[in-house]
Order: sequence, then C-alpha cells, then structure tokens
Amino acid sequence: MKVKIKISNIKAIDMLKFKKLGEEREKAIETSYTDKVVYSYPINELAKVLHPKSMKVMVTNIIKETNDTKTIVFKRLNNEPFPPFRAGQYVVLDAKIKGVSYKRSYSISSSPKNLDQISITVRAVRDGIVSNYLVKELTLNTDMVLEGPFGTFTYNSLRDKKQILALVGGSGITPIMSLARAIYDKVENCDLTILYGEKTYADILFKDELDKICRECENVRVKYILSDEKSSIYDTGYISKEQISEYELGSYSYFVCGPVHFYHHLDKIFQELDIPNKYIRHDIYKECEVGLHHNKYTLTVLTDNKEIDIPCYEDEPILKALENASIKAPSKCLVGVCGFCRSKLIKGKVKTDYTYVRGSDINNDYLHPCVSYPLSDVTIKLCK
Amino acid sequence: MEYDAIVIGAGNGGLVSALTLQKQGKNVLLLESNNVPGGVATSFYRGRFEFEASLHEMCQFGGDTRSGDVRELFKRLGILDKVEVKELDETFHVITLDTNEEYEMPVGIDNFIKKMEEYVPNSTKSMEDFFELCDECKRAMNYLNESKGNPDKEVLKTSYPNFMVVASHSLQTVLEALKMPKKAQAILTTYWVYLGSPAPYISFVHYAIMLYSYVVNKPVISLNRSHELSLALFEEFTRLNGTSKFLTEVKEIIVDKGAVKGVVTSDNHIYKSNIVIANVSPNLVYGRLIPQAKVPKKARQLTNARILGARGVCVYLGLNKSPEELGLKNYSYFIYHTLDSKKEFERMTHLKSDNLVGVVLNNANPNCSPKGTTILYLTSLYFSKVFSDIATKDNYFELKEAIAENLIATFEQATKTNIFEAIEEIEVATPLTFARYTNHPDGVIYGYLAKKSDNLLPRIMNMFNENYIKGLYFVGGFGPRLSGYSSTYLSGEMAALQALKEMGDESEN
Repeated sequence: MKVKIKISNIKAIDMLKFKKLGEEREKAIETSYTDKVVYSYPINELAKVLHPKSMKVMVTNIIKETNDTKTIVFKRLNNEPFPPFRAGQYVVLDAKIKGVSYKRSYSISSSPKNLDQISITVRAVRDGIVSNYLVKELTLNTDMVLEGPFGTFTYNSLRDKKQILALVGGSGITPIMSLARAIYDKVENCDLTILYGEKTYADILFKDELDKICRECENVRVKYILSDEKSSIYDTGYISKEQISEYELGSYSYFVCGPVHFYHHLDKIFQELDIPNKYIRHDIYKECEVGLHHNKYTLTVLTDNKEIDIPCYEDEPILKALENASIKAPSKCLVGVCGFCRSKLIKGKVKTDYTYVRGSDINNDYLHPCVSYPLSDVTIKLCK
Repeated sequence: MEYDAIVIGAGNGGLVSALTLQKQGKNVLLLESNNVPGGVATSFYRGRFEFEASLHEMCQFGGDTRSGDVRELFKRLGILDKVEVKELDETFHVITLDTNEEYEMPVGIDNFIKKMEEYVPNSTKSMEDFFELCDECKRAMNYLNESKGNPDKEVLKTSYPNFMVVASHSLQTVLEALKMPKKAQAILTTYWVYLGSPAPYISFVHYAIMLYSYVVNKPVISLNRSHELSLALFEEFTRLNGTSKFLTEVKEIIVDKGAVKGVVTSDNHIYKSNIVIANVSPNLVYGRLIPQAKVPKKARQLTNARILGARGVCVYLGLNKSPEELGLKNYSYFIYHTLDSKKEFERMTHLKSDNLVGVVLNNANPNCSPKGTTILYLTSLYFSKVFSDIATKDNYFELKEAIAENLIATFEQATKTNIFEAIEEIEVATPLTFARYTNHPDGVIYGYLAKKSDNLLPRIMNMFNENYIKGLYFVGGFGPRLSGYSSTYLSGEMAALQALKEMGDESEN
C-alpha cells in the first residue's frame, strides 16, 4: 500500500525544485568569493605548539645531585618556550652514543611553571648505556632531540582525591619532584605527602629543596625512609603497610613511582588494605634491563620494503635489538603502554605483554616490541 | 615510484578507497600521518579500559536478513567475516533538561510507531506516512547511486514521485507537511546531532535515510571497537600487496596542467600518480597542499562558500562500578535542554552548552571492560569556532577539565546517577585533539555543515562536476556523502569507482 502524499503547503512547483538543487549549488559556488583558500586555524596552530613532533634542544646546565645522579637542563634551540606540561609527564630523549641512536623516556623533574627550560634527573644504573652516558659523559652545550611531553601520571581533580600520598622508590622521585614544585609554584592545586624511600641518606635526591618546599608550603610534606642504612632520625626499611595506614584510608590517592619490585611490594599492600584501583596511579617507570645475552635468535625486520636480519636475545626486548642494529623504529614510552612502537608479528614465538594492546590488534598479531622477547627466530613488520 | 593511485589519509573513506582499488588489481599507495589506520575510527587504552575513540553506532549495516549498504560493502571487500558486530535493540533515549521530558524509542517500524502513539496520541497516521516516505527515499537514493549521475527523469517521476516532492526540503518542512503532531516531530528529530544540523537545515532525505536505517536495520556496534573495522580494511589491503606508509605526512600534491601528478611527503619523497584520493579536507588540499596558483578559481569559490560543521569535545570515562550499580539501563542517552533542534543548535555555538550524547558501552557490549566497571563516553558538539577563540596554551588544561566537569555534572543531573565518585580513568578529547590527529580545519569532526546547497542531494548531484582538478577526489566527512561511519565508508567506494572509470578511460585513449 503506497501512500500518496498530499502536501498542502508544499506547492506543485516543488517537483521542479528537485532539478534545481544542482543549479542552486552551482550558483552558490559562482557567487562565492574567489580569494585564495586560507588554511590557518588558531586551534591547529595551538595543537602544534602543545604537541610538537620533536624539539631540538641544547644542554644548558648539568647539576650534580648525588654521586650517581645528575639533573640535565635543556633549552630549545629555537628559543621558544617548551610546550605546557602537567607535573608527572615525561619526555623522550634521543641520545647519540658512538654513532648509535638510543631513545629513552625520562620524567620531567622541573616545575611546569618555567617553560623556558625543563630538566630531567638521571641516575646512572649499572650497565645502563644511556644513563651512564648522561651522567658521566654528557657535556654542556650538547645538542639533542626531545619528543613530548607525554604521559598520564598526572593529578586530575575530577578523578583523584585532593590529598595525594606519593610512594616513591629511589629516582622515582623525579615526577613527584615536579609535582611538589608545581604545588609550590601554585600551578597544581592539591595536597602532597611524599614517602620517599632511598637506599642511604647520601642517595636522597633534592633533599634541600624538598625540605625548603615543605617549610614554606603547607600543602607539601615529605618523609624519608632509608632501606640500606640505620638511622636515628629517619624511618628505615621498606615502605610498609603500617606507614601507609597512618594516612587515613579513603582520603588519599596513591601515586606510585619506583622500580618494578617496588610496585609489586606496594601492590600487595594495596590489596591487603583493600584500596580500589581508582585511587592508585602508577608511573610507567622501569629499570633499565640488561640481558645476559643467553639464547641468541635471528630477528627479521620488514621495513621500507626491505628485509633485514639482525641478532636478538631471549632476555632483551625486540625494540632493543632494533636499536642496537640502528634500525629506525617508532617508540616512546618503552614500557608497553603508549603503543607507539606497535608492530606486526609475522612469524615466530615471543613472550610479550598484551596489557595495553588493543583487542583487535592482538587478534591480528600486533604487539609492542618494547615489551616483547623472542622465544625463537622472529619476523616482525614495523608500522611506518 | 609510480602508483595507480595515492590515498592521503587512512580514515574510513581512505581505507575503503584504497582497498577497493587494490582489489581491482591497481597498485595503491596509502599514506597516513599517524601510526595506526582508521583516523578517529580507532581505540586507545587508559589503565584497564580500551576506549572507543568515536563510534556511537553504525547505520546501514543490519544483519543477514536486513543487510544494509555498509554490510554489503564489507561483503564486497571481503572483510565481513573479519569484524564482530552487534545489533542493538534500542534507537535512542532522550532526556530534556529544561522541560524534564524523557522518551525511549525502540527498533522496528511497528514498535516505533506504537511507542510514539503512547507518547503522542494521534501520531500514528503521520508516522506511517513518514516511514512509507523513508522507504521511498531510500529506494530513490539507491536508484540515484546506480544511475551514476544520470538518472532517468521519467523513472524518477513515475517510481519516486513522493521523493521528488520532498527531495529539496528540510526535515522540518516535510514533517510539518505530513501534519505530524509537534511533539512527535520533536521526538523524531532527536538524532539531529548525529548529522550535525538542525531540523530547519538538514535535508529531509538525509535524515530520513539515517533514521530509517536505525529503525529497520537496527543500530550496530563493533564489539572490538571501531579499530577492528579499520584494521580489517587495512589488513585486507596489505594482504593484496597494497603499499602503506605510516607516520608519513603529505606536504604537497603535485598538479600540472590541471591534473594531479603525485605527492611530496614531508621526508621529501616524491610519489607519482595520476589519481590522488584525499581523505583530508578540501581546505587543507586547496589551502596548503596545492600551490595557490594551481588551485582553480571554482575550487577556491567552492571551498570559500562552505561552512565548517560540528566541532566536538569527548569525555572518555572508565568507571569502577557496573552499569547496574550506577543505575544506567540504556546504551545511548541524548541530553538536550529542549527538543527544539534549532534552539539547541544556537545554544551549541557557545562553550557553556552542555547538550550531550552519552554512551554506556557495556549496555551493548557487556564484556568491553572488566567485571564491575563501565565505559561511558560523553560527546558534546559546538557549531562555531568558540573553542578556538577561548583556548590558549596557558588555559588549555584547565579549560579541558572545566568542560569535562560541566558535561559529567549534566549527565549526572539528567540520569540521576553519581558518576564523579566512580571515575577511575578519564581522558578528554577537544577540537585541539582532533586537529592534532586529523589536521581538519579548526578540529571539526563532521566536515561541512549540512545546510542549503551543501546538503546531501546537491552534493551528490554535483559531485561529477566538481572535480576541478583532474584525478583528484575527496572522501570522508568532507566528501559528497557527508560525515558518519556509513557515509564515509560509502564515499570511499564512490570515489574509487570514479577513479577506476577515469583510469579505464585513459587506457582506452
């Protein structure tokens, strides 16, 4: 049954109007102005300011913090300020060492208030190629390339409790230091208590400044805890359940930053204390892992229409094998979270971490090479 | 390197164009500036949540028995078995803030009409007429597509007379003409934000086809997020030996004597081809990628005549309670101050507008997040450059958080739920985010505003006359079929078929 639509207020000439649709459009075009098309939009420009592809920088200062730790201060070569960032974010540094390019992510330790320069703070770890280079060999005025800022280890007033209990292991203090400075500079508006675990008194980073901030700013407190040294002034041992329970449960968000075993230690405590996920934020901090080069395999890399065979080791991430062979591969966070190194496994077996790999990517054999270890000869295809 | 075709941008339109051509044995180069295919048809992780970046629900998909155009397209492209989709049994749930109204509409024409009669007595007749008319419009559009720009006037007159009468009119005009009660008109118009144009502007045919598809074919979601749809297209393209380059931006389209000759990428590679399919905006192409002296006057006039469409803010929330615990029963919630689309369109030129669409992903896809959690996303549109006017590098973080707070508060008020206390993860995308990932002018997400001569029919009727540069085609939300998943997919095939024709013509010469 077809309806015959009788439409009183649409006139008979409307049939003709259909044919005219195209003509009307023609006319609209012909009567429009002929000036050149200007592709200039403030928000697109702002996007570039906030998210530059990369930044050429120069080392303007190197500050010795402790025996094995230095703060490196950068300014941009074009003299522009750095993009605004949130305390807790990181940058990716591209370090050229003996002709090989190494990309590493470091939390920004400086305050978001001053964007003319930013700093990272690096502790030399045993066998760490990049950290040892940065701490022991880097000189003033060296030109480098930074990407970022990236990362979500930041305070969010809609999600987090206003009171933050930062649980810090060793050089994991760096993003929290940025937060303390941000609160001091009134850029962030939250209340911060830091439980800062270090090996010994002499290893404590930023102690003078932290103490000063605590004295002058009522919203920041710090408590030092030494694991490898007896002390009559400071708590000793590992950060414990009891110490955490001293801060009223249900009133804090917990920001955790430290080495992997530190996370495991705290995760157990959080579980025992029944603290919901919502209140626990982990930074993507990870110790530099150095393999013992057991079980060598061949990694075949498909990139730029080429097939390249390189060695790889069971105990080293595939991304590291690419780096050692100077094969340019996309990467950012290095701990499997950001997905920027996402590549396709074509052949072979790997041990990998799928936590942050998209479901359909897993179904289509994609993985994140920064957290993938070969268990056989492996072929991967880079996404670039 | 010379290619049969180069596709700029691996969004929905670009992916379908690339695959369609590759499947025809052409040698295609697909260029994408990001590191994943899909453009905004993708997903991302925060904490333990894999968020859908943009898809609310697809129309024109359907199931086995009511197979829609997009499903048929996926079948032709050989990817239908690579995607897991689910049909929904509701269309929309709309709540008004100022007038405290609430309407929930089902799928199926009979159910829809019945429900409308419950809400608006004596609406049945006009609703029946409306769906009859929808059906005719849908068939007429299929005919227009098949006729490839040369419809037989007699066929149009005899087979699609009602279509011919309404084709040039707005949604509002035709609903009035159908003597549909005002309240029914208002409820029926709920989906207007999906097309980003209010009832007095949007073409009746365009709206009718969308609503009809949602009611008849049912809304469809992709169970593994839209990333799976994008990936299915991309993987098939790769399997057929298509060439792709990620993290590669195009900085120039080479034009010589009024025809495209190839592209230059930002790493200064030159790729040659006589066909370039742009899944980016004409503003970018004519304003930056092609040297001004080589942009024809008409192309400049057309681009200057158009109005940018909706910008958007999207708040992605991972909640640590289940939908039941939160008290959220529906999949999609349309929240407006009133049901007057024109009035709300005006309101949405201001940043303080809190009209929004909320989607509770778990209510369609229960396993999309860990047990006891919910993925909720809230999208609000702006029909002006107001976000650009206000955002600066110094206030951007604050602005983002303030807008998100406002939208969440509105959603709480409308649905009488507590959301804030359950937020475990939150991410906010703004026009700046979309500008960053898509390069679209002012970060628009819906292409050009569908109004007057820039509505669906005039765009399609003139698309064959608007190839001002030989070999250059546009797909995606700025293309001839306007924005939305189904439209952009179909635009990709349309351009590919045009390009194939052009290639064929050339070989004959």
